[in-house]
Amino acid sequence: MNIKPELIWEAFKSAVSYIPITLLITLVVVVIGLLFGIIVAAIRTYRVPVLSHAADGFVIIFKAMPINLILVVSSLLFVTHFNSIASFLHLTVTVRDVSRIYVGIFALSFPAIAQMSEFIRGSLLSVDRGQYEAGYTVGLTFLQTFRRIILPQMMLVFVPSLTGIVIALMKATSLVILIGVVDVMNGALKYANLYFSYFEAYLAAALVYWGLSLVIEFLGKSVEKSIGRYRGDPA
Amino acid sequence: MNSDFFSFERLLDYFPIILSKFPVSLYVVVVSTALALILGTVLAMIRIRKIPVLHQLAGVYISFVRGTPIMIHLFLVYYGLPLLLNAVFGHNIASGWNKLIFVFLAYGLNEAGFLAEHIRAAILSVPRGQTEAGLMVGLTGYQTFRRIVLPQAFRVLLPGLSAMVVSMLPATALAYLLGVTDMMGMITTISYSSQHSLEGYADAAIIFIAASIILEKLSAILIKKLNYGRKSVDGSL
Repeated sequence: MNIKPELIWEAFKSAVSYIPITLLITLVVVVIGLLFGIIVAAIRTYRVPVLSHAADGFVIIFKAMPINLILVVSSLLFVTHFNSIASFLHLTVTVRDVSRIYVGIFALSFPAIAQMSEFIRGSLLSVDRGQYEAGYTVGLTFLQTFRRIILPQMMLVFVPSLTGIVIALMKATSLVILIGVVDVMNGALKYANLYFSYFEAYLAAALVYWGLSLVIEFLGKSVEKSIGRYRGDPA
Repeated sequence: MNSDFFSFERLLDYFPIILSKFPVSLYVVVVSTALALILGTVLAMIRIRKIPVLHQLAGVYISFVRGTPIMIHLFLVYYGLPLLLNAVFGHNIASGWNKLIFVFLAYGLNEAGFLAEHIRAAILSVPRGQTEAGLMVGLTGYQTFRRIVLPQAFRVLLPGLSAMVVSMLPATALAYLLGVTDMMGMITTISYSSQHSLEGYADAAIIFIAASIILEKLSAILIKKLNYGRKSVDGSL
């Protein structure tokens, strides 16, 4: 066995310094996923005509497509088409001015929206129809019913699954290495070419991702507790 | 930017070539799921029986697998297995191995971590009385587990398992990183000679989407069949 601990440490330090990049991409993708995921889920749950079919198609397509394929194609289209689109919009920016991070965020948003909308839809459907009717009976409007009666109940179901999605998306951000963004994964591999220490580098990257996942899980657990505190027993 | 960027002729030309590599993805899904079912059941039994030391190790393993990207697992197996074999056998017996073996192992180990919890819940969903009934008619502990508990647990496991298999299919598109010629690898090969890859990616996307729709329909039929007209099960009692 010739694993060199000092190289793991070296790669680990390098990977840790890129944690902000990974977290930034994750955060932006999660926020985009949540915003559009709510819209897609609402369209599908309340069966808005025409749009609901488009939303169904969107979710089926982006759940089935490999994330690395979406990333590579986005990057390809970005490199070949960005200049012409920018000049069409009379913008002075060119391909060189735009960071690859944005391409990564753009590409990761699609699967994020698809996944997020599925979980939001599931938690929306977990609230019994009678709850809406009860709200209307006491004279609340749809929005009031939704905000005061439905939302608090669906959050109990949604928050535990949100933790899982955030961790899954955080792991998926490691794929941005394919389009050349330097994140935790790439940071760990920085010296791997030099010393041929690939195993050490991947081990270091794994430790960093593991740590991040544990932190996200802990945060999710505490949010769950504070949301569920009005229930008799924590679900 | 040239006008010859995307052409439907090439899309059609490449389609059969890329489709011919689809079985590789399916192969990876089938073999790694089989591996994961075995390893996942072992992990689940360790967790249920609370075997000391192994119980904690299984917990750490599951936490690690769930907390790290599959891409890292691929490379850890790819670079780590030879090191491990070197340490055990004194020389690298994995040097001539097919790269697919590493892919099977990586995806199997990964999936096992996710499946273990599903399997644990499924086994625990079988009422204790079933085990007692099995023991009462004179079956041994193992016979009871295999003939009475596992078949009932499998019915509960199936919805979760099929969802996992459907999501596994696109995840296998990373196998090309180890040099396996799957659909993504084929696109790369094509783009070297023709300088066109976008059509190939479009073909692969179509195949992935079609395959996942078919898989989802098949698993829905299977779940319905295994219910034998009973109310559907969702893991909770």
